[in-house]
Amino acid sequence: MRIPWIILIFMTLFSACKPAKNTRAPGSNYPNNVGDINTDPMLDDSTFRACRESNIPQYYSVQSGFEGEKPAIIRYFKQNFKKEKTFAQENGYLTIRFVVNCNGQTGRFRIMEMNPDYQPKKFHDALSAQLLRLTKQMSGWLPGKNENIPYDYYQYLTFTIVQGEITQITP
Amino acid sequence: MKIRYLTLLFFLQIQPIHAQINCNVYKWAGDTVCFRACQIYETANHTRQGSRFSQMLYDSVIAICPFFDMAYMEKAVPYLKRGDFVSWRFWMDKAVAINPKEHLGYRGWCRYQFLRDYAGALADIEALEKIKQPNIGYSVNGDYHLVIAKALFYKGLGQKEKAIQTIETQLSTSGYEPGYYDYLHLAVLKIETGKPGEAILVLEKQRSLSADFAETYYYLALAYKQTDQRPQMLENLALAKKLYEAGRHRKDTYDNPEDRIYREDIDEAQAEW
Repeated sequence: MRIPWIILIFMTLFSACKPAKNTRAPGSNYPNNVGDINTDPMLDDSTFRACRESNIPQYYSVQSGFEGEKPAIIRYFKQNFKKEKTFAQENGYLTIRFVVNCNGQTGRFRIMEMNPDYQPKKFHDALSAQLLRLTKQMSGWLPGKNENIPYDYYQYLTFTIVQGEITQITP
Repeated sequence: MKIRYLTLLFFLQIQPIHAQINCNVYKWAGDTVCFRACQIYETANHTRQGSRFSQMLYDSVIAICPFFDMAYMEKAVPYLKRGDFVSWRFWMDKAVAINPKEHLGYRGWCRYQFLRDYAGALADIEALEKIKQPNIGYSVNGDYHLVIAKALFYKGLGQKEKAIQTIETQLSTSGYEPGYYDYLHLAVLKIETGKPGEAILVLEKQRSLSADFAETYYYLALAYKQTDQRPQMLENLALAKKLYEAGRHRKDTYDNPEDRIYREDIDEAQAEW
């Protein structure tokens, strides 16, 4: 019996919504768009507003950036990040994702952490808290722009941590 | 049936990343289920990347035809671009497990481009070399042959002489057409290892290959400075500034590429050299 492929799509779409027992894969509970950050009153500054909530593109889809370009970002963390003795065994990648609004203000910071083998991990609280605080305090993010229309955008910074030191900042 | 599948695998092996898959190969192999999965995959490729609908379509492909490696890879991409590297790696590894020849080079390149994970990137390319010869292919953005990319990984790991040797060997390989930035990276390595005279010769080749971005002139200026040739240094620095201000410098949609220069590099050079 031949099943029309459009029916097959819908059958599998619905079955795909239900993860199999004990095998829930990362990222399989989908928001409207991968990487969307919803406002959380427990975490977020209540005064921060996106200019156009319905359309927040990614940093690579609009003109975006930081005043002074990447060297300014590196310099900022070099000058302000303080390694503590308790960080000595910390290795991996810590990513902070956030929204830059069309006025260049930032908000909705979220942390993602992984070890050098790309497995989830939890960094020492003092380390992640310091990086989060410093990222929140950065000023100089440029408002998004596309054909002279201002945009909000999603940005992230990934810190490579080797023995408690920042050795790389990407992108 | 076995022969049909071997034929199918042959066709899939030669599909470049992001290329349209010819769904008919499944039909010809008599695999109507994967043929339908392939049609859904094609539909998914026309949806907005990373949208719920798009991700669910790729899930459908995977549910119908679990060995459809491209669906895992495409599903992984938005996680990569948006900084969720755990999820990216989870799905990307599945694509690699099914079809390492197709995806190891891409995974290695992404580990470098998005995380500067030099050791991990190198391990992937070395694994690829064991199963794909004579040509391991190019980075997904087309900028580098993966052997040249390997040289960048060596550089990141502090093995600069090995990086130089790797680029020079590749450039002298019969039939190899130099990539757009091969000479630039070689020249920067020469400067960094104290050979500015050789760097000038290499940068002249870079200039004849493409004369339109600021880095060529900035590094020429630096090499001339190190060889005490002030007029040439000033001339090239001025050209670098002019091109930079016109937006003609190295850039990439997702990251700041290797050996890219910034406005402050030129400003500092003008003030201090």
